[in-house]
Amino acid sequence: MNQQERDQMDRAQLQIETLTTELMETQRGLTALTFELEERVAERTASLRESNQKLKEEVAEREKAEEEVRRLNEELELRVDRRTHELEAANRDLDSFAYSVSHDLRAPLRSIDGFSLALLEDCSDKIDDMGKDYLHRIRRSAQRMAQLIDDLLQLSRIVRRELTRQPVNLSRETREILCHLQEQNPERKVELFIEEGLTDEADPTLIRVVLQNILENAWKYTSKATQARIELRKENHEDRPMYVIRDNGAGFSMAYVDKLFVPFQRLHSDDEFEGTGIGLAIVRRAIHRHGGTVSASGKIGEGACFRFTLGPSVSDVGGAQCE
Amino acid sequence: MRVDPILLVEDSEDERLLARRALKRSIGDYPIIAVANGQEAIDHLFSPNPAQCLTPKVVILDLKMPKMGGLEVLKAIRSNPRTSALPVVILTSSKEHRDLVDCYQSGANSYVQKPVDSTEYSETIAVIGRYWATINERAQIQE
Ligand SMILES: Nc1ncnc2c1ncn2[C@@H]1O[C@H](COP(=O)(O)OP(=O)(O)OP(=O)(O)O)[C@@H](O)[C@H]1O
Ligand SMILES: [Mg+2]
Repeated sequence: MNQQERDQMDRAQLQIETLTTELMETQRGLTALTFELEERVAERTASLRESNQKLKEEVAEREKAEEEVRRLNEELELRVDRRTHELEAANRDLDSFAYSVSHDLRAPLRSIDGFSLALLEDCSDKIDDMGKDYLHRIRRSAQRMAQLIDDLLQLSRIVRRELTRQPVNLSRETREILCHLQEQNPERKVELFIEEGLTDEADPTLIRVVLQNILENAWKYTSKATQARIELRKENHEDRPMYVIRDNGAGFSMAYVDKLFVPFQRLHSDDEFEGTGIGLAIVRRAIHRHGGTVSASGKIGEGACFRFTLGPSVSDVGGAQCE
Repeated sequence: MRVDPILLVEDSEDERLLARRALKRSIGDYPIIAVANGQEAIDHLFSPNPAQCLTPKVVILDLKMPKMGGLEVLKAIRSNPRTSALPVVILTSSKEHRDLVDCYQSGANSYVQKPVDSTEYSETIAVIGRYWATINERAQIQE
């Protein structure tokens, strides 16, 4: 081997060595890269697994919530059912209670009134005028209480009665009731307007009770008006006729309108206008028995207006019937 | 001449007193037998000893009474041949339509609702008493 050849060999050798070093370096780099990649993949996998787990948990949670809602709904329905039954039973109890109470209360009243009268008639020479006045007061109270009891009983009867629908002529009933009131108070002059031919399907007895009570009120609360006027008209309320009875009497404050239909609640004192406060409670029950609604509006000194329907309107159907 | 008494069946002592008073004012000392419940009425009407059986001019009968109610007494009266034609006036505080129908269907001659107003109450009883206490006299006049 000559010098030239040797030099060549040395260079080649050197080149190989450099290449080898480079290769080894690259290899090292590659290993490092691979390692990094693997690490990253592992990281990603872990985070993916984590979100997967989270998702699963969320789904489970949502299912649980849905289940809970379903259960609550069922429970609610059950509770409503139970409550309805309870209310129905309570209502029945209340009715039989009202009946027996009214019967039991009337008997002592007959004694109170009866013996007061007996004293007035049999011992009149022994009782002075003051004593007699007291006895008259006792009698008046006894009779007033008897009236309250009768009213209470009538109210409970409205609920127990079976409902039968028939064509009823509201115009005619109104005229008859007002005629009767006129006969009872011949001195009164009341201007009447009764829209003709108002007929509807309703329970005749209950409708008479409704009209009687609203019209008696209109009659009573216009007794101090200078030019009393009472009207019956029909308005249309969605698909249903709505009957409107309006007067121009004493009226009432709308602030207390909620009290109007509650038994024994009165907006006028006994000194102003006499009454027991049961009339409109009866009206409301009778109207509700028909599935209808009743409402009132008024203004002090200007009159009152009562509106009622005799069955559910489209918008009421499916809606709750409040009592 | 023997007079048939009025039989008054009423559980309230107060009302027996008041009814007696009202009757006295309308028919004076006309005999009245007052008992407190249905069972006592039955005992008077259907005694085992026929000689002691009471045949009143009229039975004034309350409905709601302890032991035996008025309706049962009425049915017993109507189902016995001796008493089946006896006049029976129901005098009750019940305003229930059902009671009225039941009484008439069981053969009551009339059904009177006790007024709470005692003027009305005593007038009502006075009318019943006067009517039945004088029915024979009226029948004689007609003959
Ligand atoms: N047409 C009306 N004008 C003014 N106020 C009225 C009218 N109708 C009713 N009211 C008020 O509503 C209250 C309740 O009426 P409701 O008919 O129930 O009782 P009342 O008339 O007092 O007694 P009653 O039971 O004898 O009818 C009355 O006390 C009165 O204050
Ligand atoms: Mg009223």
